[in-house]
Amino acid sequence: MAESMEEVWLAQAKSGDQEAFGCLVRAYEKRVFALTRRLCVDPSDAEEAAQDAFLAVWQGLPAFRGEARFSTWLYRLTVNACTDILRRRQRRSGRDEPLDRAEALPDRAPSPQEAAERKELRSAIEAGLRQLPEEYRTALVLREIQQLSYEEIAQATGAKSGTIKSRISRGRGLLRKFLQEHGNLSDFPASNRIEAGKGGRG
Amino acid sequence: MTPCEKYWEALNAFVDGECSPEEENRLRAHLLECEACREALADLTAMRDGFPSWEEEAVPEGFADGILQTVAGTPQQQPKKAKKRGRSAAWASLAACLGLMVLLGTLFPGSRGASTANNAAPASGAAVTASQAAESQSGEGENDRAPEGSDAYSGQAWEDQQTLLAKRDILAQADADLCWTLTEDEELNLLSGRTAEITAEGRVYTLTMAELTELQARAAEADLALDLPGSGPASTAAASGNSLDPADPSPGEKSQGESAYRVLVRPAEEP
Repeated sequence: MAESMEEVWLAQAKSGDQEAFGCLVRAYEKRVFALTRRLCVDPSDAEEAAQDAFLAVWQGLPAFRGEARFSTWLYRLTVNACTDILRRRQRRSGRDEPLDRAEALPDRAPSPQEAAERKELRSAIEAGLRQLPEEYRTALVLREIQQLSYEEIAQATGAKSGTIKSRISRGRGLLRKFLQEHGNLSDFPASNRIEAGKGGRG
Repeated sequence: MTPCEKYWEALNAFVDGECSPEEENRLRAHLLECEACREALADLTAMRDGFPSWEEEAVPEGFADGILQTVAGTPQQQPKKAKKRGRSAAWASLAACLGLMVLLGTLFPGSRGASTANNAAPASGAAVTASQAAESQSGEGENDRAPEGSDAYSGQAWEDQQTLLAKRDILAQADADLCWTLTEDEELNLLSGRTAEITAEGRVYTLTMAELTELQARAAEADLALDLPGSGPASTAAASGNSLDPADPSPGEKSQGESAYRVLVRPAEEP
């Protein structure tokens, strides 16, 4: 999407232009769903969280001053929407502690269609993500799926950049352990893997 | 093999392109010698490649149209440019905060809030001034519950002194400036759309002065008291208040985002 086009939509939507806002929704809906599907403990909450996030965007647009990028602001509202839903669920269920992800995991196995479409590692990563503590998962999803920098993740979550660096490395440590335990990181010889490592985005 | 703990964070920053040049040089030198870290780097790279992209995400059919239908019946929130009533109510609160802080500082010199207060003026005089400021700021007949003078603070609020002191410690631990006790619904209503930093003491929101003022006004409209349990509506405690200068006549005219205030929200007990 051209940056200038987004700016035009933003300016129009800020003035109440619903058609322009619709363009923004369509431009970002996949990115928002990529976030809500992974941040909501119950994936069936993903659509509600996405709706809440976009509604918050609409309501808050006139006050959006462009100090952060629009996408960063949108992700921030999305993370908030997911957190709010999680808190409502916890309140309703009367549980103070976050849901036990390991316990809930069997209910959220990928559908047969999803399983067919995704490669084994990808499925394992999705399963592993669901077991991560919320803060680690949020940071990792924003990094890996939304491709945000540490600084942008900090803006989107309200945490400090150093905290994000720590959350990402800890989250990846847990995810790596999960993948190793499920045999997803030992498919090819170490020598090849070293080569793969050199190709990393450093 | 287990990678070196010392280099784990750098390995992650490396695959993310977030290493400083020094960090990257150290890591590269280490990688030449450490097989476990080379293996970890390979795993991290494989993991990165294994993540899905948002572009592959499926969106329910008609999602955007549904949003637009909702939006059609939902007015946008126009930024409030310091409604007179809201601003005065907020400043009454802030002035009262300063008064409380000064009084606490007098009793407990050497505390975080005390040094500023003691440097500013004789404590009792400053407290009266702050309370009078609260009175004059809120004296528009719209906020019946505003404190009527310094007696309000020598009475009810003093009875909650221990609570206040405990709160101040909590504020210090959370590195926050203000503390509100809200039910979940109130918090959602007031602060929905904002991100909080979760601390052991509660959720900490970072707000600009203008945002703080607006929230105070909205709280007043909703008949919500942003205060301490058992004290008056304008007795929000402040642990550090040297930037909340009640003498500044035009807080709403400051450039937005100039100052950030950290507000600790603690959960109220459900009725």
